[in-house]
Amino acid sequence: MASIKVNDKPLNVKDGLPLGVSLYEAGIYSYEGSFKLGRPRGPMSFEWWSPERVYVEGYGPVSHSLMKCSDGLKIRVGSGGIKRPFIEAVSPFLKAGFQHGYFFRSKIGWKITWSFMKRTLSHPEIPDKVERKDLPNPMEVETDVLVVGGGISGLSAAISAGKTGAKVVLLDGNEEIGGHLFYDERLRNLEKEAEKFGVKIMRGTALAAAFEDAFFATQFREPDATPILIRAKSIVIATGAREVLSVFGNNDLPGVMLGTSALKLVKLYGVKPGRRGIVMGSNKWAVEIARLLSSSGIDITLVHDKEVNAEGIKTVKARVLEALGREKVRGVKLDDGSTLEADFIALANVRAPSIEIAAQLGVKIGFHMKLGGFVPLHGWAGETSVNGVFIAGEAGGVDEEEALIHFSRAAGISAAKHAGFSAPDAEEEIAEGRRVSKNMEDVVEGYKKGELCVFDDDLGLLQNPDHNRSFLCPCLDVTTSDVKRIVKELGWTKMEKIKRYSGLGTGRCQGKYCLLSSVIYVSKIGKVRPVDVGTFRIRPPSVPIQLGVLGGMDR
Amino acid sequence: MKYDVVVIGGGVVGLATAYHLAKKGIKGAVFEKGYVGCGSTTRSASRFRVHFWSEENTRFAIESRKRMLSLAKMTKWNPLPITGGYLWVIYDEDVMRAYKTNNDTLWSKLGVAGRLMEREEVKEMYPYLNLEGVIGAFYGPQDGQVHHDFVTYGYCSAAMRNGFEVYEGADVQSIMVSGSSVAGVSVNGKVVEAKRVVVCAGAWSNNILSSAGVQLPMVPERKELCVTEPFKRRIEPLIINTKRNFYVGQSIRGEIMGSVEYPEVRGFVELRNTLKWAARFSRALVEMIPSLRYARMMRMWSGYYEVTPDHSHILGRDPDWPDGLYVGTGFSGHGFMMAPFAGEVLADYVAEDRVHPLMKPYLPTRFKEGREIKETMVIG
Repeated sequence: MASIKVNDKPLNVKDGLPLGVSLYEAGIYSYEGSFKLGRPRGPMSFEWWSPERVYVEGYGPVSHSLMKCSDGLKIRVGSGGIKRPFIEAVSPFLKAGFQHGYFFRSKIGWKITWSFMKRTLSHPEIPDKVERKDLPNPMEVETDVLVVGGGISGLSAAISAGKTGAKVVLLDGNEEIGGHLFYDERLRNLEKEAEKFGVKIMRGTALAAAFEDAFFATQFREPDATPILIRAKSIVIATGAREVLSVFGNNDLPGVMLGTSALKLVKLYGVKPGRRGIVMGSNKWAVEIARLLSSSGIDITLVHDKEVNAEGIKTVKARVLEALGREKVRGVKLDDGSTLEADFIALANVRAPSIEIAAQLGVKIGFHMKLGGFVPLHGWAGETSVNGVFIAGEAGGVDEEEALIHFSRAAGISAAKHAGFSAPDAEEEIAEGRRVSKNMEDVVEGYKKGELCVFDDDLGLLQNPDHNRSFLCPCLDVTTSDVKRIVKELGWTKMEKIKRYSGLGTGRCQGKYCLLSSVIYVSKIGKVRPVDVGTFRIRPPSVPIQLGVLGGMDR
Repeated sequence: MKYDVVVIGGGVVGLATAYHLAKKGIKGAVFEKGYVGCGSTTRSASRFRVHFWSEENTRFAIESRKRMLSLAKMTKWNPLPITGGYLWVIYDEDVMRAYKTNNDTLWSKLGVAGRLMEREEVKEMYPYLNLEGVIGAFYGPQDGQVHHDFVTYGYCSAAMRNGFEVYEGADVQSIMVSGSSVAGVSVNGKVVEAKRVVVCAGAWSNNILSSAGVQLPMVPERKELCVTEPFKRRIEPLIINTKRNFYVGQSIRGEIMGSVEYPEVRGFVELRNTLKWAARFSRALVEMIPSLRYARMMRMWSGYYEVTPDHSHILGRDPDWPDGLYVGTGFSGHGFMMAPFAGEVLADYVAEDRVHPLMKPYLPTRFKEGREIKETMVIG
């Protein structure tokens, strides 16, 4: 046990557990008031890349998922507090672009507004003093093949590459290898096999950026971390996919979280996300999450809008209109008029490929909704338009597990070949993969053509965009009505421009929660194809990196 | 298609010029290769200052600032102006003396406010700064920041309201010259007739000008920038470290933004980012504001300064060029802050052949006539 202080009140927590998890267990669901509206903002995920921050004295805002509990931590949390009712009252006047209104743009109007904004925008303060002054020492790693991501595809690729005799380094931001299947025994076996073939597995280490001059990784030891410069001859991007924010009323309330994170709470940290929960989604993964959560003794209802095969699980076929509750989720209102009681909502409508690294490296990105939206275009063996860059697994839109393993192996083999090692033919794996794959054909076709856009269905991401508190961007409080105004009044449908007007996508998550829903929303109301809406430019780093850690690299 | 005037480049300079032309009732169009502002404008640090080392630039900047601050009235868009000042942190007696001399002989004469601060005062006013080796500072209260995109969109919509047309995704491949005059431009393979063409294409200007047989002494230099996660506003001025040529400030939304001059990369290199720069900048920032050690760098990008030999812009035309060809480019990193006035005087020149006295020093003929401007204050 460790003793920490939350707003000066002592709290006993389990030593070594992520701070956010302990706070959740203790019933503290809100870390800060939201940017504009002062609404409670708590954890939406518990991943190494999670954008949620908790204010710790002596450090400032730290990652709630990377920072571990230890004795003596002094934490400050809160939400909008007393100013929230006031802000709610004036919020109809705070729509995107309000600052261009007649009063606000007048000299005196802007002066008053700015002095008010300066004080009320909910951001953490720059700390007066911090614990340490010295910067960490950097590490250098040299390898033939760099595999990013230690899930089922990253491990498969790494093993195949390792078998050729190539030096292979595998990074994973998590301490536990396995990606979204972290709880699955098969992954332990793959991990062992990889190590047998000499793969160097670096846990808790994420590829933070693909710079022009080097790969940069950090090994997290929040609040500190080690900067690592990586030189590699080829890279396999196996960063997997993640759930994204579904759009319905009050979808920013604490208790709304990504499906994988709800699973992690239970299976990894032994903390129940709630007594009664809702899983949203009509796909195999949503059913799997529902099943695993149910078997942990949680009362689960799967809310789906298409037919699913979910024997033994309570299901409701409906769309979610809004989440109920003021400080935390206490239920949902469905489109059939009924309400369901629940104290958390696990989102699993879509698993969207993590495209950050691929995009930074200049790989062409296409769009295929069934494969999770934006997907880096690649050939059968994962090869891309950028020399030496290979994509494997869910990061490249492959979701059928059997196909994924074959294609990942092919990518590993090709990456080793690119690094100059003679390897067996990847054709055999490709043929096996093609035999069982349904959707890869589209991606490869797109790769050959240099373009791919298939958008037939929102897969339940846009549950109810018409609620006036349906958030697209919880980081900076951008709602669907804000974006609708921009599309309708200014006639803009390019994400890059909408971002510049509304702030959408420029918050701490840098698009991880918000990109996909925002793009398909704009696509729908603006009647343009998702590829023409485009992504906002995805820039390094993939995840915000401490200045002290980056500075340590400058020697 | 046929226009009186074609403006090439939909950045802040081109759009400001278009707006002022439109106000004069001229029928024209802006052709932008990407989307409005995408070249260098949106990549800028969106700051403005009136402190320059040369009298010409200082005078020009004073006029530009005035217009920047009253832009909301003209464009009906609020550029969110904040005059938080610039603070040059000084480590060296010689530098201190240079600022004192310039302040006494130039800035105070032109009505530009500014004052030298002792180390103790800096410490009191900006307690978050690490003052190791610092002997004092120079503070310019009239300098400040605006929201660059809102300036751009403001000019764009105001130009369109006044009858100008703005085309995005319109790539001008060449300027057509017939005899000794400009005849038009070729846009996405189509001919657009115009007697007058104004090139405001920033770093890319020379690529277009070459089709008219014109080359300006100007090279693109890549600059990298970044922002951290947002914090409550605390760093009011833009802080410039005169020893490391490094600057840092806080954006309106609270992100801490800055850059350091390193490494120097010239030419049209890809607009990516380097670990070298990120590491150098982070170290410089943490050394200057140690309490930002745990702050997180959230997003990096890069853009071009189009640098001329005298670090000053090029406005107008050379009589040796084909008739009807004008430029507004070469801003050397000051395009955003100089645009409001540059657009105005350039429009005067294009429309009425009137050279504003403050524009005269910036004519392209200055290079061959040996009348270069003595400007050395380039930040970042």
